[in-house]
Amino acid sequence: MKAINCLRAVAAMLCVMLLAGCWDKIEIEDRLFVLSIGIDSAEEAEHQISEDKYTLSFVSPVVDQIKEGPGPAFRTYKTVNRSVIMSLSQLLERFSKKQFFGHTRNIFFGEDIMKDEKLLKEILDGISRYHEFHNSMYAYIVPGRAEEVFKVKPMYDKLLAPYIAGIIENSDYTSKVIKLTFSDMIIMLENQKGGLVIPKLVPEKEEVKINGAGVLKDYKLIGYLDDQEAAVYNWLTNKAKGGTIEVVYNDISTVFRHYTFIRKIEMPKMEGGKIYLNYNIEAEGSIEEYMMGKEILDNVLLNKISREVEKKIEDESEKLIKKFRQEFKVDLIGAKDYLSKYQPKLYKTIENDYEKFFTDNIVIKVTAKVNIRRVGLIK
Amino acid sequence: MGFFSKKKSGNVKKEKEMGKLINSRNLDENTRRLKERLKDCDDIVYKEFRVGEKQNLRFLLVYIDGMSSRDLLNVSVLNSLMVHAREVPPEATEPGDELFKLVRYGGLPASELADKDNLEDAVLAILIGDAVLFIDSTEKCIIIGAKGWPMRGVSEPNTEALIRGPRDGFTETFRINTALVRRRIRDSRLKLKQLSVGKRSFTDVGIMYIEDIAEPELLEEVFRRINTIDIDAIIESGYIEQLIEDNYLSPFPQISVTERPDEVAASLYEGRVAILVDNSPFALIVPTTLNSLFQSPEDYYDRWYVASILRFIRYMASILSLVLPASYIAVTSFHPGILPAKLVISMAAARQGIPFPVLIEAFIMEVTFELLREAGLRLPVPIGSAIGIVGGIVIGTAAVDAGIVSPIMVIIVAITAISSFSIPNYSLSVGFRMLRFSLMFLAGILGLYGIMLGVLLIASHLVKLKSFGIPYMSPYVSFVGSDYKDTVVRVPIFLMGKRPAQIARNRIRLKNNRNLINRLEQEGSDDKE
Repeated sequence: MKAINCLRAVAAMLCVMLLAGCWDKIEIEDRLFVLSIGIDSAEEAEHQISEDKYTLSFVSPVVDQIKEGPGPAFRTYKTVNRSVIMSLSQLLERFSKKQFFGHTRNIFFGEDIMKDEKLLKEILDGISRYHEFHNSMYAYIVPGRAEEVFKVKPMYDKLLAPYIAGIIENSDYTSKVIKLTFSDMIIMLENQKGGLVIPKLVPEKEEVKINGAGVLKDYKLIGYLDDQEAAVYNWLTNKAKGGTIEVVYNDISTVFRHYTFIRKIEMPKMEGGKIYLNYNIEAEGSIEEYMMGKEILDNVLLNKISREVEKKIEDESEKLIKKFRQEFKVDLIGAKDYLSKYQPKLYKTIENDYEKFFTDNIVIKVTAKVNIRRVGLIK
Repeated sequence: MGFFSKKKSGNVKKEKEMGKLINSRNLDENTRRLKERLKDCDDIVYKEFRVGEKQNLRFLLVYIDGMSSRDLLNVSVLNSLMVHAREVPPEATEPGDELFKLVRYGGLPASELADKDNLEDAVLAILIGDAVLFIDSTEKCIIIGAKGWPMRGVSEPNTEALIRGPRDGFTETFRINTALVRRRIRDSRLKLKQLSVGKRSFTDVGIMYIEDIAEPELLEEVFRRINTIDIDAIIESGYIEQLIEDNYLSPFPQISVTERPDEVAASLYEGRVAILVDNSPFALIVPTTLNSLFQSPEDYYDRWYVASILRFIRYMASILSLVLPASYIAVTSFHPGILPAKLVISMAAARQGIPFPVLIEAFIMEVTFELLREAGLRLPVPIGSAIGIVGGIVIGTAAVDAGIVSPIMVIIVAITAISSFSIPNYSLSVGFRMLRFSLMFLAGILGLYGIMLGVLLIASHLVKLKSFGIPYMSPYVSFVGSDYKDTVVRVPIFLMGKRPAQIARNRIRLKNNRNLINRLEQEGSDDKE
């Protein structure tokens, strides 16, 4: 009996260890941490064989140069291949260290990939299917080629990837930066059947700038938003938090900084086959700048300024809504989301030809309410 | 029948061995027998002297030089019998029982006297440091309590120093130790049962308890276990501890050891039982729980939140000392994804060029540290500081400069060492140290999964472990609310109204006086108005 129990214990131990243990021991210095990935379509000159489609660029830190090394703190390298997985296995043929994607912060898509539906669909499937990629990396579109980003030498940061990710994380303080993680990107593409708004990253010599966003329809880039429109996009999709709005009142430009920015949608009526949607926006914040010597702590004046801000929000919003309805002809501003969640029966009836319905039969009205709570330190 | 006869003959033999040898009436015969029994014991003093007008009353005083107090013997035996008897001659002029009675009940101004007619008892009394007075023509001898050997004074316990609290600690002398405890419990219900353990050493073992608080079953169990001990000698209380503990394979101490009489007293008031052993300044306390090993007497002397913070730190320290090196190994070799990117990169940078895997590196450093600790312990104090310097340079700087270990590993080992020193109980920290090494190996093979396996094994061992019938994890295994008041958080003393439910009976300890104090304050302020 004792022997049997012993045997059972050993069997149980072997089961837990052999069937479920972690057997993938790789020492930390044998890993090559990939901090950013850039994806372009391969240029003719780069082709090794004619089937090559992608150029994947990687950036990894040179770990012993990070603190006080004379050399560069990061290196970039690229591979040209037919698919993601082939590219990655090709890297194993070239480097002794193993790529580790657990700390990848950014993924950059070149403009040409975004313009080609087939290329984009293939690469997205490859990346989202492969288990080693990190789903919370930030996604960007780069006008021109993505590998250009890796030539930037950041002014204050040793490493490129945390620098760019740091800009994205500023989206709490400025509404002009759109924050999009890779998993959100995949979800949005799935939900919108190929529609996407993705932040645009413009590389320069010593810095990069998040400047507006690219708009995709049916897995294809159809246009860009400028950075003011990107802010309005954030307002309309309820992603804005902090940020600034500039208005001119009495020939004095003043800045309203909002700390909270809430958008709510309601459907007041349905008439003549048209759906009327109200976007109610509520913002709270402070006046940051006016003019020396002018009394600002005056209810009437503050009310007028807030009217001015409300008007600006409404105007800008309606301009962008118009752009989406008439120029892009795609609903990425939350109306579909609202209808499918809160009016499912109604949505069922229009689901099949939604895009046409959106451009013709949905009327969106924006109503803003602005509360100015503070006026700064001086009276 | 054969069985019985065997047993009987065994008994007879035993009686002879025990030497139920009645003293002879003849002093010379007694001397001869004693000298034969205590042959080649050159430290025994046979002092023969005569008293009386005719110098016909013969006495023999036997004691071991160095173990009995000469002053006491001089004053209360020799002086009183020889000098005073000359000033006032004794009424008994002839040797015999009359003389014995006179001496026994009036002649010896010593506080501790007993009479025996058995040579073996006399020999034992001599061996434990008493003096024995033989009188010619009677078979009785008088045992004079004259124990007085060189002993260390009561001093501050080295291993359990406190900021706040009494400074006295146990010594090697049993009687002083019992007195130190009794001074703190002036209750007739404090009992001290003395046993003598060891066939050759006859070591005094005292079992102390408070009669109406300690559970009778616990007491019975303690006596039963001690009575099973059959050993030639008890050198230190550690012998008793190892002979009566529940699980000899467990890395956790199931009996707590203390040098502090205040801790013993406090434990007795909680219903525990203390075992004091002669020749050892360490008292044993049973039953012991894991929770009680994290407590320090200071916790009760300081204000409650100070104690609670310190306890929290101790629990944290024990967890760190158990899993820190193992987690470092697991994270660096298996799961670099769970740390922030910047930290991982700086860790990878620190590991650059180190020739060993993390597991080996950690093992080298931990073993070096253990060596240093052990060496520092053995060395005399003046040289001990040299070890600190060597250790600081060897582990700290040279190993890193030589590229054998990474600086982060040095930090990990240092934090682990500091943590293991902040566990108040030494044996517990040794247990954690042992488990730490096994967890390191598990982490090196299986990563975090291995650590979890190891922790699960330890946890399942802990919940199964018992100390004298009390679950080792109590009060965490029970649902008695009042017991939780003295765990990680030590509540203010006025709320600790009850003794631990698992251990004690008669549980009410104090009444909450807070409302009385507040009421008086209120009345005082009302008066002012």
